[in-house]
Amino acid sequence: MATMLHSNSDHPGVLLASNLAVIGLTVARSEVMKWQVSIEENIKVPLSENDLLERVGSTQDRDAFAKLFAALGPRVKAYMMKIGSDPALAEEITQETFITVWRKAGQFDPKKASAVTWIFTIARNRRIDRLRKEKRPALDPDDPMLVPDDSPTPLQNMEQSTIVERVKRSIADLPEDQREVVQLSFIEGLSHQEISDAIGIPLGTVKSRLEIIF
Amino acid sequence: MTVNHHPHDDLLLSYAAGSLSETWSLAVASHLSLCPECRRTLELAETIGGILFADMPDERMSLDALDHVLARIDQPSSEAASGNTQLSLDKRAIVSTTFPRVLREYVGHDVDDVPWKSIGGGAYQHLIETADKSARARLLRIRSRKTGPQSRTSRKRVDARSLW
Ligand SMILES: [Zn+2]
Repeated sequence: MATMLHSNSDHPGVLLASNLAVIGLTVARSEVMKWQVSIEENIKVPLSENDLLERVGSTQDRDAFAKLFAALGPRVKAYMMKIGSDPALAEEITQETFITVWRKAGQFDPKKASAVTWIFTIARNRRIDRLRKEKRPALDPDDPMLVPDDSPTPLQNMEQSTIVERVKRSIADLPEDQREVVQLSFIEGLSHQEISDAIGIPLGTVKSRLEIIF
Repeated sequence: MTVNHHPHDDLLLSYAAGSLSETWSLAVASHLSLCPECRRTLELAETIGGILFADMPDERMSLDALDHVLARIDQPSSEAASGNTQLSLDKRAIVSTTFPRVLREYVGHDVDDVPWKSIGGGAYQHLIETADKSARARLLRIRSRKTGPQSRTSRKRVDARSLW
């Protein structure tokens, strides 16, 4: 919320508290010196991860990159550990993930995926490259043979943020044990059979629970 | 080209989570190149993965982690040279092919140059080498009843034990 401060004092000056930022500063010099500062409260609104990643991509902004690393590095490390890396290896793959993030940031398109999802897929690919002896052939989005999508569904016309919100809500609505099933399939990539082996829920139940969300 | 058979969600989901084996990944990736519908499913699976990822409790990074990363982003990329792309073919060199690129890289030939082996009945096959011992990929070429330039390629796809 922008606030205007005015002063009739003879001393032009800028009043700044540490939690305020000047978004526009006009100093009107008339006979009587006046100053006018436009300030914006709520400076604490941080840049979103999407904004940060776009900055890295467009201007190689190191500061934005550092913020992104601080925000999501620990998450990538947690993901690596969740799927079985020890802390040292998890740390290493996380660093490699962010090196790739730096190099590929220019390809990030916020209309196609959120920054968090984009970084998640990079982390996933780094882990595969790192841990698997065999190759993992992947779809090449620039393949000229790609059959274009000419029948966009409502899902595609929907804002990325709307999709994320909807999915978030439906995950949050799930009971704890069903959330676990979802986590095992989407993060750890276990098959239905493996999930029922791991947590002892019969295959049919797992499938029907998954269909709630997928 | 349209495809009528789609991999089960289970496969797409494992592909999205990165846990699918090489052979199956090849089949799924080839299919995805030709099937916008499954690409949308994949995007949704990745979005869900990203949301679950975002909800994980953080693990503390070492204090000098950022410094390490910043030091390394200044070095020239060694990834490109040291086999991040382990396949010998230069991706960019392949401009036009009747196979999806991911498949073309494995096969090493375009459709007409594949060393097809006849399996009778007008059908041909070509085995695709992978390091994955759990499954085997076979490319099948089956003559279409229809004639004409389009139908010649319309029946080719990766067949991993003919499961879809
Ligand atoms: Zn499909």
